[in-house]
Amino acid sequence: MTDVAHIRRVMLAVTETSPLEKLWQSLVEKLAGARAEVVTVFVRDDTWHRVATLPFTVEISRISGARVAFTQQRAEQLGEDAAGRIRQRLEQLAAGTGLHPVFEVLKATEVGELHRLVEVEWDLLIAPSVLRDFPLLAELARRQRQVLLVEVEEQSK
Amino acid sequence: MAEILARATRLAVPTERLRTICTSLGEAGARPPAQPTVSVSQLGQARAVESLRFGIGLEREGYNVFVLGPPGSRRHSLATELAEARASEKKAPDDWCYANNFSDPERPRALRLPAGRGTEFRDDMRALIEDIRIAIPAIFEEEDYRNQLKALEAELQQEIEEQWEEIRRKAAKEDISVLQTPSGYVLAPVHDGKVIDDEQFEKLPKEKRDSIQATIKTLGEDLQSRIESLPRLRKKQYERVRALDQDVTAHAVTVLMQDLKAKYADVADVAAYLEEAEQDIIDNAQEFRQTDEPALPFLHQDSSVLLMSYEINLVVSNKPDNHAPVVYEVNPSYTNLVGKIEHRAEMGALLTDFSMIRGGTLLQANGGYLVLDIHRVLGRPFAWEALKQALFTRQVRIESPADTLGFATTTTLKPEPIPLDVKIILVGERWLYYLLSLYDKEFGGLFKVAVDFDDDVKRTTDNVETYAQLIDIRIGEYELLPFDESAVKRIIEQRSRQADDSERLSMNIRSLDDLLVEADYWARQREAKSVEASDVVAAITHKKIRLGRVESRIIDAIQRDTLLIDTSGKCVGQVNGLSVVDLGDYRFGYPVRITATTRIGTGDVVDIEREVKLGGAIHSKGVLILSSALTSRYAPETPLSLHASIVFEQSYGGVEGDSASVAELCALVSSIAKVPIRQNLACTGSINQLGRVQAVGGVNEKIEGFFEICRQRGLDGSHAVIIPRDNVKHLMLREDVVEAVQQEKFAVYAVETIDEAIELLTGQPAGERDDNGEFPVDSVNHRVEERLIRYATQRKQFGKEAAKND
Repeated sequence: MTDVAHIRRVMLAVTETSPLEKLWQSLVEKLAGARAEVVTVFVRDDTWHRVATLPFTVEISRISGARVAFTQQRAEQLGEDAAGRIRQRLEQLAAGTGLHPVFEVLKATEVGELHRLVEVEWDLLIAPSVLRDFPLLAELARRQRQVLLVEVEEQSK
Repeated sequence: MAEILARATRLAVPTERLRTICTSLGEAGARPPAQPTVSVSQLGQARAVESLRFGIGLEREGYNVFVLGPPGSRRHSLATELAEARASEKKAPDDWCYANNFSDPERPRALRLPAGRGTEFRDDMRALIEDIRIAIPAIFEEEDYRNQLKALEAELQQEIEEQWEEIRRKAAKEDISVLQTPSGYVLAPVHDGKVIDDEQFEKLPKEKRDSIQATIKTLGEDLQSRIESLPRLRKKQYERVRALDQDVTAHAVTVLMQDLKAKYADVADVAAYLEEAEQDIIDNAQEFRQTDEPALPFLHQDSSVLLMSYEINLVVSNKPDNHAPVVYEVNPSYTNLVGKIEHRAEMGALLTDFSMIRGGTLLQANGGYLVLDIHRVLGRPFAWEALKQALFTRQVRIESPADTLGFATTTTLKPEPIPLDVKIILVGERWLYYLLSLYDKEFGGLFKVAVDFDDDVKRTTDNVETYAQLIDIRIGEYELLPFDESAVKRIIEQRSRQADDSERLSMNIRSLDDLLVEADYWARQREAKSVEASDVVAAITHKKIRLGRVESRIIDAIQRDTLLIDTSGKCVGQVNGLSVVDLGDYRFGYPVRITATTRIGTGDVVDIEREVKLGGAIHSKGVLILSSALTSRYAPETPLSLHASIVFEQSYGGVEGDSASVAELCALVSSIAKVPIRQNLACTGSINQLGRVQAVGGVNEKIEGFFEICRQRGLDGSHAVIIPRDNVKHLMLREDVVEAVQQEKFAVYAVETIDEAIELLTGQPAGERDDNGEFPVDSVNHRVEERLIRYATQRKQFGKEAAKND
């Protein structure tokens, strides 16, 4: 077990459907008031882009029931909106804790970016259990970095 | 000559006729005065009082009253007094309220309640509102209500969930995932729990691909139709909640309003209103529990605003133990008469509602009497038309003048009209009454009763006694020092002077009050305990001094020979006429020189004043009459071959009236006969075609005006004024004039014919035609006739010579 005093750099990995409050709480508890550099990595999955590749998919408006073709542009917009929402929520959670998380977006398909993150000397990685098989985690575990998987139920998309 | 002197003496007005002294006040002379009699307030106005009683008593359409008479004649007080007497016999009229019209808020309802119950009803409604303000939100806080509400909400949620689950279930069965975006849903095929992309999709057999697409299409349509049905579900839910709210509110409101409805069951308007109010409260039950903060503070629309709509706007309130109202509106503007609808500015817009309706004096006086000054009504825009409209329709319709004229551009209220039953008493001067009668065709139908106030009253023994009592009442009202008998007598005399008649007393109470107050002032100045005759004289004298600037300037101009007036010697064709200047509150007289020149001519008497348009119509008429008198007296059978011109010397303003026609004729006679006129005399009077001298106005001021000039130059007993005999009764001369006559330093002659005036002015016999129709040879008239015949002969001769030359 890593001594709290030695935790200087922490990565918090989240997905679009992760319950942020629980993950953040785990982080705060783990640090127990210690100062550390926190980087939040929003692991953006490619579901929307995959859907958008299908030529027959449409988005049905919740209010009017109107149908609009679901395009790559719309998929990208949804991803950006999700990142924005998560970043804002994290800032709210971090307010008053003395922590100033840096926010990064990692597309699951961006291999180069994945390698860059692996090379960083993380003292602790906190991630939802859904990311158990995510290559970044596997690699970090292999490099004997401390990984804390938080058992949370992902929200439906 | 002796005969002429004897005749002049006979024409002299006796001293006692120059000023009729008040010798007795009857019982009113007793100090302290006796209790005033009832007739005091109606002194001299018997006809007016009778007419007023008739007008006030006859309660039929159109029998409104117009009180006409001069200002200061107690028109208002007498009209109000009689109206109040009649009103005291009538019960207090109903109260009127404006209330919200729940089905049409732009047309507020007018509610009628018995006197006194309007206030009660308004207070009851306020109490009810307070109860509702507390009771209804409390109901919504009750556990039972909350549970029912939660159950309804859960019901809706469950219904939506069920539909949603059904879609998910169907989709999952077909390997379709229902993904949610922030604004909608996306249906996509899945494999092993993961959405497949186009590449994976293309690898699927065609049948599978077609099946997936068809399923997504069907599920999409199903989803779409369920989404479209959601508003219906929510509406249904809203209606359920609303029904629940109404149920709980209805129970509470019914209980709260039960007593109120029973209390006002006998007032039809109110009973109907309460039913509607109750239903409205129930219909708007949800508004009473609104607690959410508004998006913007100034948009706050909480239940207190809603509760305002159940307020009662009491526009007419009467006390049940009072009698019918008598209202005097000092400023009868349109809005003061009819009422108005006020507005409040909110977010740059002008808003209004029934609570901002304000009643006018027509409503205040409804069921009673409304006293108005007609000149003020006519002077206020739209007021006269509004008043007539109200009387015609017998309704008060409160709306803005712009609305009445159709100029309103914004939505405003149209309150229900209120039935009108009021007697209007207009007070005004006579000329306004006659003008309205002549030019306003509706006037006669609306104001059928004319009440004509007399300007003065006969100076009988009884009236003097009553007048003295009236004086005492006024003294009491103004809390003046007591007036002794001499003061009251002097006031009585002055009232005759103000009436311009020794046999009448002025009924201008305003000027009486002024005299009393000013006499009191002078008595106090000398630290007296009571007012005496000398104080009354001081008041009269000082008023004359205060207002006498113009008079003193004219006298000064005469004394410095700027205005040429001779008061001694004789002169042909020149006579002292007398003029009066009226400055409204003060009149004075002064002499004017009238001259006449004559020569042979064609019978023209030229009035220079008329030629230069300085002579008024009546003055011109006077000159034409004297021309006719000249012809009929001296040239009845020969053509008048004279050219004469008459002028008011040094008169640069207008000349009006015919009171100088005697003087003008005398100047003409003097010029024709070449007989000089005495300049120590002045003359006033009008003349008819037969040579009869007729009465004129302002005779006192005229005499005093000439007297003043002569007095300053030195009275020698030769100075006098000639007046018409018919004016003797009007004489109320100043004490100093009377004193001068007593001392034979001054005289007043009263003449009935032009011949008497000629004799006095020329000092020569005028001459009467004898049986042969001829004047005595040495008479003035003979000389006039002789000269006129000579002119006619000469003219005839000139005519013949001219014809021969042609």
